[in-house]
Amino acid sequence: MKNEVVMSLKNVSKVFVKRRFFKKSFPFYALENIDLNVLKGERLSIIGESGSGKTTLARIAASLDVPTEGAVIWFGKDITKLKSREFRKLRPKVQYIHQNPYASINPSRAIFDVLADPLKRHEDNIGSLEERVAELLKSVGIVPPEFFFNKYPRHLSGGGLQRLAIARALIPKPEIILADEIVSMIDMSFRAAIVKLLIELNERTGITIVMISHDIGVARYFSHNGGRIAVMLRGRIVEIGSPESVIGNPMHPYTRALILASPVANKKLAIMKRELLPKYNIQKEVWESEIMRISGCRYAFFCPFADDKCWTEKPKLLKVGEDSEHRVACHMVRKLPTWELESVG
Amino acid sequence: MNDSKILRIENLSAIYLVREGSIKAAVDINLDMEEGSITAIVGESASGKSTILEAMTRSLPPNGRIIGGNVYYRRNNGDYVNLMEIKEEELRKLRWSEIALVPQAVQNALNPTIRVFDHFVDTVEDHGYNWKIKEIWDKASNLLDMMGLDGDRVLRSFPHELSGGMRQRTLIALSLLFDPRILILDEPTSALDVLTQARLIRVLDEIHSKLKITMIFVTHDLPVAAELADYMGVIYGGNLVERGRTEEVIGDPKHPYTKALVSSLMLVVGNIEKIKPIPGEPPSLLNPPKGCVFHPRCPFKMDRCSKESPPLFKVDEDHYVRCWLYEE
Repeated sequence: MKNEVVMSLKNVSKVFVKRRFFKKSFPFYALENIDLNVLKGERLSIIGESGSGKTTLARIAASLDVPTEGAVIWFGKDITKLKSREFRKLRPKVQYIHQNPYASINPSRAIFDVLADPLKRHEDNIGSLEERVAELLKSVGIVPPEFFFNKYPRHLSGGGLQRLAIARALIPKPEIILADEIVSMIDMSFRAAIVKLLIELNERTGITIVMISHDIGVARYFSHNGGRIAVMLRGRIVEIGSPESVIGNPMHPYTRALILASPVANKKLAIMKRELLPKYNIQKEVWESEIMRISGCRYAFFCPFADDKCWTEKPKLLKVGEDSEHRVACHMVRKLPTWELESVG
Repeated sequence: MNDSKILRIENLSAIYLVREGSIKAAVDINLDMEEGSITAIVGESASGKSTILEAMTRSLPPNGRIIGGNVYYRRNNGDYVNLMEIKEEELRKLRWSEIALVPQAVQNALNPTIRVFDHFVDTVEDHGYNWKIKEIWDKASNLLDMMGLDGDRVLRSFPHELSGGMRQRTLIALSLLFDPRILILDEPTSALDVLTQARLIRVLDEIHSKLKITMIFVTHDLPVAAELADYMGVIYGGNLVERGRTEEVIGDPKHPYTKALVSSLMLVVGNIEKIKPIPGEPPSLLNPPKGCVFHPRCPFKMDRCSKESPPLFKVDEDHYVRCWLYEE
């Protein structure tokens, strides 16, 4: 039960051809040979900076986009090869929540209708529509539900809208939810509440949730206690494992740099981190095309540990240490010093 | 008046006029800045934090009105001028040359059709300085180098050739062109990636210690503020609810809102079990709640809180809180 795979990406690549004025066009790998298994009932965070391909990955996994190469498998079936009738049966089981709730919810429909319309579409014998809508609103913490029936999306704050988007995504009774940066557009004071809502949803119903985020702190909170974190860098997964290993003992120089660059609201620790950062990250401006041209590790330009092998040979995602679930794609794993923040975290 | 303060904001209030009424975006703000310090103004979106910056530099949008208060700025010779009362023409002279403001989302503020260097030339000419081209180039190049950029290369580039973080730093360099005494930044780190953000924080810290400039910045990101600022003001619903030294405000927050905010932070370090979301919704500034603006969400609410708005109480040296819990 624990290790049942519900969704997997097999050797998935997404290539865009970038054209340059008067110059040769070059292929841009938004995703490059991604292999990823999503386990039933898990909370998986995917983190990365802008341009790392995390949203492309989520969109392909949700079948909102097609991969250039590779296969996307839902519940053991390759969705690219399914007949459209069969696919339509599977479709409701995977839901996607967008980053911007202000854009993903129709502003001209009352909150009741935002939920009632899909309910009518997806449920055969609803009974009382009012009761079902109230139940859904309550389950995401929009209370008292009746009060909001005739209100419009503009009456809700960003946090409230995102709750509504979550409620709407639950209507087709999905088994997997892909949540793309759902807290980045929301105020600070709601963020923890929204992430907590997802954690509770996962614990209560056993639904699988994949959350995309650029914020390691958010990923750490979301995936703590049993989840996993995957770190993406320019179209590749460079590290994956439990939060305890990925954040407690990161083994990729890029992951270490990301953690050291995240602000911590503590001046003394901030100074310590600031001094450590150059040890794992060389600051320079490199063109996208130059990074795409090298055949080795995508971090080679910025990595103080890089040697010849890193520039020429693509590192594989391999197991490290005793934790069999902790995998890192780095040639220099053995040369990295002991992680300095371990004692603090 | 105490001479170490370069700027004193006293009882500043500002509103925005909208069809439905008036938005009380800044209510009775009291804040002062030590010369050479970094002050962060922290608040959520639509809490009125940018309004404070715009009101004190009198650069509010057309529907904004300052309804009261004074902002005293101490000039080089020690005289105080009230920025709310001086003539528009005098204020224009102070802006940029003594008080520089870098507005929000500046990544798009550069003119895409001219080179970066031309921005510097235009700025110099517009402010009536008679600098030679060579002088401008050297000065600009130096400033850009200080921001951790390759000055000569950036000056020759067009804005689209620079990344977001580079453009952000270019604009900060541009704002430092006339050696201002106060640098005001609105959300300097929003819309930047983690590594770029860390770099900008470092650069700001470096120019601060090199130039001994007074910095004021507004941010929604409490951890960023905590890493950079000496002093911090926390804004909630148009009110300044707490201010003090950063270590005290973060390490030992007094106002229930600041307490809740600090414990709702999802950071990469620290005890994960202690993260606690804040219940409730932020107030509407169109019809703010009566009494204390935070009382509908406050776990320590008393009868009085829904009736009277608390004044700023002093809890420690340089540490003030707007909450009835701290009445003497």
